Amino acid sequence: MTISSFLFFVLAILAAYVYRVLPKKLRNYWLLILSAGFIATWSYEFLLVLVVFALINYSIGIKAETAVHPRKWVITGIAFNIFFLLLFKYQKFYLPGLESLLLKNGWMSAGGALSFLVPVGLSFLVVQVISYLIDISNQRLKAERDLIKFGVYVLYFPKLLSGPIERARLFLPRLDAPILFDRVLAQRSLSLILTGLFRKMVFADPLFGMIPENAFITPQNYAGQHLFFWLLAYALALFNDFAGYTSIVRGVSLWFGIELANNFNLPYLSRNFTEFWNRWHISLSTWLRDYIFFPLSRSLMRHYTERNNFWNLVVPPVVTLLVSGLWHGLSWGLVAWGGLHGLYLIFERFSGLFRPFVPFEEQPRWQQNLGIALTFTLTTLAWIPFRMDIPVALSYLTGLFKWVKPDYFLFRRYVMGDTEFLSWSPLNLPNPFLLLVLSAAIGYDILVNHKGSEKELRSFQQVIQIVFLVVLFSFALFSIFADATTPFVYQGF
Amino acid sequence: MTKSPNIAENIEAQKPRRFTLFTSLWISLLILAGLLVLTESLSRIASIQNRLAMRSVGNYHAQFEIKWFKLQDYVLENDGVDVILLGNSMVNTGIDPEVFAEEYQQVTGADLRVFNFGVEGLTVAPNSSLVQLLVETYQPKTLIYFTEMRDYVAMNGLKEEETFLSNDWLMYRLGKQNIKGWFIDRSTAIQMLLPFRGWTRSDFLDNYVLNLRRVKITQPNGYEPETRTRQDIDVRPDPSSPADKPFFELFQNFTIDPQRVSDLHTILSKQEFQTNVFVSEIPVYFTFYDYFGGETVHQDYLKEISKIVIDYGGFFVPPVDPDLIPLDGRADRLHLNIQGADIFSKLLAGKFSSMCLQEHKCLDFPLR
Repeated sequence: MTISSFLFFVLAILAAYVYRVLPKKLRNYWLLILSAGFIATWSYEFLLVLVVFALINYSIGIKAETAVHPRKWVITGIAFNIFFLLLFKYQKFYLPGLESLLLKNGWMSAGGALSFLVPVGLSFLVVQVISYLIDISNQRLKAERDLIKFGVYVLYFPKLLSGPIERARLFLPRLDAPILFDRVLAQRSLSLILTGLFRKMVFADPLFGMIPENAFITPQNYAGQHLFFWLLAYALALFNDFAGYTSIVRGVSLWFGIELANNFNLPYLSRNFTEFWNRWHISLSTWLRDYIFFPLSRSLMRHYTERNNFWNLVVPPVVTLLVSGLWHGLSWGLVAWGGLHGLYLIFERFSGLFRPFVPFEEQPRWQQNLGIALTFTLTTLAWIPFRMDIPVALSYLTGLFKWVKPDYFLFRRYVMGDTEFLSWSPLNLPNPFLLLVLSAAIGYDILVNHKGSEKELRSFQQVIQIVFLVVLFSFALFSIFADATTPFVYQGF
Repeated sequence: MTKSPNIAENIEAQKPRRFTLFTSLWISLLILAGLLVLTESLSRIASIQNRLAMRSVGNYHAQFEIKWFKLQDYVLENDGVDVILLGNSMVNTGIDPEVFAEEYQQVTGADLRVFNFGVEGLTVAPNSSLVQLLVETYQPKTLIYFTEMRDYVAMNGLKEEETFLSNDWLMYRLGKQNIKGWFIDRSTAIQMLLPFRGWTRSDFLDNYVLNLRRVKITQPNGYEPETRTRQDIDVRPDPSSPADKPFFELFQNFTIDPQRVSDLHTILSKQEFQTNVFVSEIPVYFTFYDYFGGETVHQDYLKEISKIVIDYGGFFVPPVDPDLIPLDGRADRLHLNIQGADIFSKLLAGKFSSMCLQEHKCLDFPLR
């Protein structure tokens, strides 16, 4: 069941109502049943696998607190979770070898194939439980004895598919004291859901749809201007899709009185890469910061006490972002994406050494805008290896500079009616619908930007709220007849 | 000093009330409802309808939609339809209803209102559903269904059939009730907006322009003239060529699929609704039968299919001799061009008019 489906909302409303009327001690049971049911709509096998996953982590968590050598248990737990992730998610890298081994020894018949279904949201679950175990180890958290509560922490359905990645020390107390669902919260929840749907239906789906399937497979077949606009479309679609998703699940979670972390804060308006990583996929980047960047920096500082030492400046950002790339998937393209962002951060750190620190707010407006333009451009270029394998990415990158002159003469003849309008493609002009949605998506982010934070829908002027809602409902209504919805991209990670 | 309750109430009433998101939600829903009513009203104005030439019922098959709305207009214009020519793209480009009707009128004296409903890619399976729709909606006096060997190959056209028939509107019209289909059927605004439903697709503009052109080219009687001449007609298909190989694989070892025969029976069963059903074939160039194993396989097929039609109580009209169509009248092995269509329409009308005069099997009155 997808979270933008009508059925999901209807069932979630009913589930929230039951949650409210249930006695407090039964509410977590209900959340666990709901989450299990939600997973089962994808696959019963997923449910089984994830229950086993949760039970093992529950046991390791307790051992990590009570055993004579707790650290060993934490390391075992981390190793188990990484193995679990590798086993399912990176199967395409080891299954062919395993298949040939089995075939060679006659343990598998020719024509057979091995494959596992990857449980939904696995990458997100793994990093969550790793943080849980590390926090226990660092005595920042007590191991959760209540199996039901732990089960809800791991499997809670609004955050299951693509996060946000929640820390147990923040999430578990919320289960004991859910926020009172009053008119204010209802309005906030509605605001989040509508914003999420707007980002998904008005920006993300159309932009993804307008990129041809082969653009990221055979970019050499297309003119540079098309590749340019499709890359922009991809960057904005990816953001709106994921930000939309997060906004919806946060809104739905509020129906159960549980606040989920924010994941995005207008990242494309960041003025440098440090700011970008504080605004993009926030729950993952703070996880990486707390469990990789800081420990690594501290460890290096013990060896190289000088703060501006080369290794102290280079190693933490590069390693952190390479891990981020690998978390998304095992491919050279994703490694390159992480590496590029690592390089961006290193460059920023080194250039910071040679000029005095001036807070953004004190910088002239042009300098801030230049920072935004530069950060957005480089971030967008980094999406090329994120989306494609390295050889295709290189082809795309070179293709970006091979613009073909549009046929304005033919266009003029079409407009004047001198020749019959037979096809748009030969004009080599960008799709006007694409330009329209791109402009709207960029314009929207500028509109909702209030001193560096995203303004919520409920605090818009009423006229703007109404226009927003009419546009959203029109799109929703039209999409019912057009069948144009696409699944959330980050569900694939 | 405290204010009196009345004054306090007054002050409270004059305070600007803080609107909430809920208020905006209701207002926007009201505005949306208003906009929908306005759009529906505007879409029913003739001048606007003329400007937006494309209409759609949400079916993936754009040519079916073009034909459907052309037929709707044709019936309004001519106060009904007598003969509907049904089949695939070969019918679409192969028969000019005007020439056919004129020729038929000259011999028999009967004025026929003829519409060409040939839709490319549709085999006998989707056509059996289409026939139900056409007969129930327009009650034509006669259906002439042009079938061919490819219709009876079990694996041919399955995907097209599935996507064509999964359309909500079509399902609704065929008796499977659903809200979406109901709305599409009743709302002119939706029908006018649906051609834009693919606006988020990368190929939308090209497809839209192409379909718009087809709307313009397709005549009010459904005929879509083909202007190309002779493509690969003399070249025999080569089993080793990558282009021909899939067709050899699909059509070799030809047998008539029983399920497809049952679909043909469905078409023939419309005779019970006072609609004559004739079955015939478009004359294709002989090299086409190489895919099936040669002309003898075709002759065997013709014997078998005519027996199936006659056994079911239908009328089988033997195909026109393909040699009567010159090579210049062909666009390719299968399709006739505008010249070929002119010749074939006359020959076909000749066949039907002589059937009318000699066997009293006429197209303008029920034979049962």
